[in-house]
Amino acid sequence: MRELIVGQHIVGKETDSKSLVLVPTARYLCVHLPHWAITRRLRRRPELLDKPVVVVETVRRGGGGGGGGGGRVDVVDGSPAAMKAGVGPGMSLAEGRAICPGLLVLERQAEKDRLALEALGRWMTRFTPFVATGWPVEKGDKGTLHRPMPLLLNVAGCERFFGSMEIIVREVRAALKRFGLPARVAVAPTPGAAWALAWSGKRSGRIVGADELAEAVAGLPVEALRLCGEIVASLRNLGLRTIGQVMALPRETLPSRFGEALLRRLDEVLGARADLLLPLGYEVPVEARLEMDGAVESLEVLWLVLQELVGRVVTDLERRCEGARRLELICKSDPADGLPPVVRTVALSRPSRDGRRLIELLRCATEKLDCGKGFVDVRLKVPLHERMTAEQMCLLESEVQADQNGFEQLMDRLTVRLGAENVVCPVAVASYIPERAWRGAGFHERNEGVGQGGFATAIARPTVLLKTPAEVRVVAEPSDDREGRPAQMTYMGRVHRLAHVLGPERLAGEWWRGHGKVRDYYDALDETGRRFWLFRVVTQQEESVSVRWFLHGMFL
Amino acid sequence: MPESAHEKLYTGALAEPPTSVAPCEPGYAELDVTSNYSFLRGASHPDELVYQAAVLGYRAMALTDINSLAGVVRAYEAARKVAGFKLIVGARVVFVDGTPDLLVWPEDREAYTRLCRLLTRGRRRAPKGECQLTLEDFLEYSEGQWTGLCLPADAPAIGPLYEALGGRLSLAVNLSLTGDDHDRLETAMALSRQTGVPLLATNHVHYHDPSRRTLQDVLTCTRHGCTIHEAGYRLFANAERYLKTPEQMHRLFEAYPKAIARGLEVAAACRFSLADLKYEYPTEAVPKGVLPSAHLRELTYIGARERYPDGVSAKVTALLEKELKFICGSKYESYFLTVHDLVREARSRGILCQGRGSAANSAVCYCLGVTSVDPEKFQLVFERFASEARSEPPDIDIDFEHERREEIIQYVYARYGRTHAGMTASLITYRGRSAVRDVGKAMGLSGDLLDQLADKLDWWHKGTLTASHLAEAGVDPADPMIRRVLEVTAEVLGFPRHLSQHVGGMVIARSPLCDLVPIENASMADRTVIEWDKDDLDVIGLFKVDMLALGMLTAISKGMAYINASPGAEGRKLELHTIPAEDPAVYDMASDADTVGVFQIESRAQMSMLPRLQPRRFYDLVIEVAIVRPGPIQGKMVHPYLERRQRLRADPSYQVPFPSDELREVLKETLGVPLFQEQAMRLAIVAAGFTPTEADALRRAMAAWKRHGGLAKFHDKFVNGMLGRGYQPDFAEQCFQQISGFGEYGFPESHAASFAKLVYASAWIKRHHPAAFAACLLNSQPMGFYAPAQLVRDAREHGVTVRPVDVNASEWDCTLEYDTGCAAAEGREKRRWGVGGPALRLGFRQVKGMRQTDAERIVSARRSAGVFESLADMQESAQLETGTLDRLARADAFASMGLSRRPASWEALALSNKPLPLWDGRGEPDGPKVALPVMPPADEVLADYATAGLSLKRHPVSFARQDLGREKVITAAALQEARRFPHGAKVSVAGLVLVRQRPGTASGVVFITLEDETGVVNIIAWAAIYERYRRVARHATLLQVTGTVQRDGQVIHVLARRMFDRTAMIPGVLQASRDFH
Repeated sequence: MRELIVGQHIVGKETDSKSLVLVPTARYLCVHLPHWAITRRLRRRPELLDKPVVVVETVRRGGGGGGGGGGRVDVVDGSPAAMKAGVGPGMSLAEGRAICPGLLVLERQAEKDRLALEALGRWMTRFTPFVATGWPVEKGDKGTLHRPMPLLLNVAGCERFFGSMEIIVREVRAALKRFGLPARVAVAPTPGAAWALAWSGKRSGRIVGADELAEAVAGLPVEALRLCGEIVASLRNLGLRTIGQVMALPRETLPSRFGEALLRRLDEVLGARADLLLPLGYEVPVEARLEMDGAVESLEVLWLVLQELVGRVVTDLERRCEGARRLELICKSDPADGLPPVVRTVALSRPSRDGRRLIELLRCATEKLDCGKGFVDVRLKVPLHERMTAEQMCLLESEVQADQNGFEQLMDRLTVRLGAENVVCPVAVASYIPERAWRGAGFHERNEGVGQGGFATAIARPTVLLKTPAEVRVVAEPSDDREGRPAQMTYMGRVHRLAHVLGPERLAGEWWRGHGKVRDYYDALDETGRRFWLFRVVTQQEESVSVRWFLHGMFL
Repeated sequence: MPESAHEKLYTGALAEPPTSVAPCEPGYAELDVTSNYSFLRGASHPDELVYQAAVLGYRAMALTDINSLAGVVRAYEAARKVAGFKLIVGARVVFVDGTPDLLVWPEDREAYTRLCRLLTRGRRRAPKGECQLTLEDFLEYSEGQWTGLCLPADAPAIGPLYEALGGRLSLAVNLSLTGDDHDRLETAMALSRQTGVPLLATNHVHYHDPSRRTLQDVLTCTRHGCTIHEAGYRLFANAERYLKTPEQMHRLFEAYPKAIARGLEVAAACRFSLADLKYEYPTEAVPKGVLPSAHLRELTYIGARERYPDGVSAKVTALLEKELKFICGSKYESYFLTVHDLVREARSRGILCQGRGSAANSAVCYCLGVTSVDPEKFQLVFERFASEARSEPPDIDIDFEHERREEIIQYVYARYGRTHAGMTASLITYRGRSAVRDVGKAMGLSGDLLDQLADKLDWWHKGTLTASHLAEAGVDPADPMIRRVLEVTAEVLGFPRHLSQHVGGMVIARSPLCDLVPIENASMADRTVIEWDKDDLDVIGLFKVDMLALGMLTAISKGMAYINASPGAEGRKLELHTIPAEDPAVYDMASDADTVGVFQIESRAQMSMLPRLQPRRFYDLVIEVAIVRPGPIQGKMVHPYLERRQRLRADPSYQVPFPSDELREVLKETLGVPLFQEQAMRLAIVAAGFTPTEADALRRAMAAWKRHGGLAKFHDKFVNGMLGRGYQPDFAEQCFQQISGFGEYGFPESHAASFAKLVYASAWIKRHHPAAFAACLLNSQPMGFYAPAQLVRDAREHGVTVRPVDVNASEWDCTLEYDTGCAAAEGREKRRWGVGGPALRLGFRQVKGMRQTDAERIVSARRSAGVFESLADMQESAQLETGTLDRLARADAFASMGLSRRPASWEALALSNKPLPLWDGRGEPDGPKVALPVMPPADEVLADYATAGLSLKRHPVSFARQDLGREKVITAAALQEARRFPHGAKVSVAGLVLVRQRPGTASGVVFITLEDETGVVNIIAWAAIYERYRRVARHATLLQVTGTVQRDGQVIHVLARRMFDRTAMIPGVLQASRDFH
């Protein structure tokens, strides 16, 4: 008997009768998490655990984004209480609400679901280095919406480390139980079969060997082939409920009726065709670390250490063609001292792997560091690193560019020195209320907000805005309705006769914030040429009317 | 109409609208006012603006909505009530070519016409709701238009306008305290000096009172689709755009008072008022050289001779003369002639139609063929029309076959022209849910919270939205944001949101319609709509005819066509008025409540009334139609009537008691109980001494009191009037209570009679041609009360053989097959009228998802190629997609080829229209034979239901009968046995849920109709029970109800106590894929 390697994990055996029998030797463990979408959310909101909660997804109608809005909201998953009330996947939200009026609704977060699943998958790498998260979602198949992604572990050969396959299964299940994740687990020679068993099996933890594969799969419903809803409906319509019934049909009759997907899936499940799975990759973090016998007790020595660490990080970044956007320095003292580690973070305006510059920034960040009892463990992490685009230098613009770079470097340094909250850029905000018309954005986020609002009017705004308007005494021109212009102002003990006054510009309060007062702004020039921005507020309380004046800014 | 819809919603700051205006000094006229008819811009109703302007003593106010005159009638109506107030009709014309906005105030009727034409042109060229105009368009229509050019603008832009308008042009400038007012005024003055065009002061008004700023901001957010927090500079900076006092305006323009004087000058020059509009009836229906009155008289008498072949009686002649005199005196001849023209056209095309309404309530209309209600037999109350006609134009509604109404609408467009005819608009206003949604969205509430709030609006409308309701919805009632949302929502209720088209109102005019009102495109193809709704039309006095669609007319028309085409019917042609009258067999059937599918009397309430009423003549049907209505039910008129009727039946000598002889005349037909609106009016005239005009006022109040009361002032007059004539106080009170009960729901007798005509016609077809009846109803779906399954079942119960859909026999419509006739049939013996008649073949239209074009292709292929022998054969000759074949296979339509569902489906799938290169499945007959699992009978039945909505094989419930029997669940047939299940007995019944309804009149009661293999059971569930079993009641396919029997004569209900989901008892149902997760 000869063995042939046929597919990825498949071995063909040539038997005496010269026919080739394919025997998959791989073992896949499938973790099917039927309520991943809701479980993940409820873990964060334990107060909702016993409430009827559903996760929903809005299915755009017609596609192509035309017509805007509209669309069906589908229930993707329901909490145990919701399921008990009869609300579950595949229903529309409206239908669910009709059954269970007090339903609480969460929007599906597909990306977060995926990331959390990957995290769980990484945790599972303790059983095998090969962990994959299911198959890619197929476009246009509504069924996949309600088919949560599984974890697939290739555990072939791993039983040697754990004792037996049963023990692996038991440990996986125990771990899932510990995490409070409802799950069903199955082991089979192909990923498709493992999933089919885990998904449709009544009993969790089943282990199916190669010789019993066909038999075990035959009894499963056709849905377990991961086919799109139309094909499943078509099969069911013909009375074909189990995979076995489909297997019994002549192969050549299938593709013309159900497309090639059915045969492909059938072959994959039975191991006659390799199934493509992409294992979770492991990204090596960019970091460097030095542990020392003696404690580093002075800044000078620490900076030498930093030099070494930066050198290593830069080499790593060079290899990746990337630059650092954020550095994190963690210095630990001897554990016996019981001191908390010192952490410093440095942000950069643009990716860099210029060693000198990085050291300089780190030095700025550690300038006032108290070395205390000294550090024995210094670690430099680069939690945020980005691809560095090759920059083309133009002959004439190089100076401009150098200036720009210089400015950004300065800002980086200032930010490190003074703290991110103290280095801000003003960004326009669309509001009529002057003190709301801007906000201070951190240097690194400044690009996001700029230009959104612009300014309201062509009317000049003062160059200096007082932090809080200062109440001033004003003599106004006589008027019936208290709308007279200001004629004279007393500010900080000095009397300004207002020779030239423009206005009023009437700005009503933002009622939706509960501010109803109206301000009349005047742009006023005094006899000496000083220009003020002042406003009047009229408050009416029953019969009494009070008029107050405030100085809000100066034109310099 | 003195009281129109929007006035009821008037929520302005003024509790009492002013009745006159005293222009103050110094004077002011506001010429730039945007009302809420500039949708999502203005924040006040036109009448609020008018009243406020009057209170402030304005000389005049112009309404200038954006490219629209939609609000001018409302403003005009308000202005009419304020003596001495001048309303100027105008529009703000916004261009697409960059020209600054123009405020246009037409000087006279001719200029107004030009403005209408301008707006019509802009709107006809743009999609619904939009307007596309260029400066060139305006210049073409600029004659006689006083115009304000909105700044900023520059001298070159003014040039062409000045050339066209000369002294009528002004520069409109507004100072809204934006800080640069001084500069703007200076710039404007400079421009004015440079060009010689005078400045005109406005305030660019958006609301009548500054307190509306909040609402205006919210509307702005809705318009931009943003929240208030994101809105930023899209909002106005302040609340200055309100109607200021003239003193304020003068102070604002202190630097240039001439601008204000210019406004007064322009206002004085604009002489046009909507009162100048003269509407004239179309004349197309009158031949040249003939007087309309003579033509109407001629047509009437020709019609009369047709209607009464044996001679016109003196009574009818007298009626006709009286009516003709009135009609001609009021100059309404053309109206009647136009209606006649539409009816004649419909007749000539074979479209069934029938008129209704107060004006239709006449002998003239009967003779013109507009109605089928014979004045010989009915007491027609022409007074109602006559009295109405003094204040508003006549009103006739015509029902057409619903599938062919569009033909007549297009006929009107073709005959009178798009410029002369248009659909009436229907103003869509903010109602509870839409209001809270838009407001909440603008205020940034989450969609979820909005849903919850919208759900609670029911309480709000009852005026009792309490903190606990809010808390229940998960909303914090103390949250200021929520409070603001609710405040703004309350304000926005009743605001116009957009214009839609009226269901069937058509306006036709002699002069071009676009001279009266702008016309715009509807969202529906080939429809054009005017900007005014029906209340506006009444104010202006425009002629409107309602062309409505009625499904039953389609069905009757088809039914008569089948009967006329049947083999035995050569030569005899059945028409609506030649259907044999007063056929006892028809009344027998109706008295048994065997009326599934019959017009009007098929509903559950009607069916429970029929056995008690025992109709024996046509008038009984008229009463039946009118009595089962919310009005009479709430007026407590049903029981007295039934009681007297039953007495009379038991003892023919029974004398119905009448309080007086004069009332005997009024009420004798309805046994002393007022059932019709006409009777209420006559009662008021005869017994309470009302004049006909007062009686008409009473009718209006009756129609509207639900919404804003107003009946009280009639109460005393009515009761005192009756007491004065010697009636008992109790009786007077009772009469008044009954009259108030009519509300909006009272049925006029003529209306009921028109409907009863259709009741009789459909009942007659059902009784004598049950197969044709079933076919015509099935082919007119969707309509009526019952689904195809019930109609088919009913036909089979009456002895009709129903044959399934088959590719070798069916057409798109259901058809009648005369080959063998109905020999054997199931059903109750005594009602097997269909035996011996044709069989009913279901059409492809019963197959869900089937397209008519595909069906037609199959039929024509079959005609040319003969019977299909295989699927491949059929696909080739009919060129069908595989999907269609599979759909037909799933619907079991290949029985004639000897293929049941699954084998047919298997073959259909193989005939893939896109064969894969290597797997070409064509020519499969040689392919391997495949044994597919045989479909169990229950699955077959369920598949029938899934694909066609009905099954001819077995009833699904029959599969569960054994299990149900074990649970002591009885059948619908067994429930009929009064001895076994007397009133009050405890029973369990089960069936498929046919109907679940919660009528508005029955507070909190849910009616459920269950169907099992023997018949239907009517369930009543109190709200509390329904709520408890809500999930079961909504989702069970097979629902079991346990409760007590309620018997009232032949009428049986089960009062539900508990409900169970028994779906699992039907094998196969639960094996759906949903269970795997």
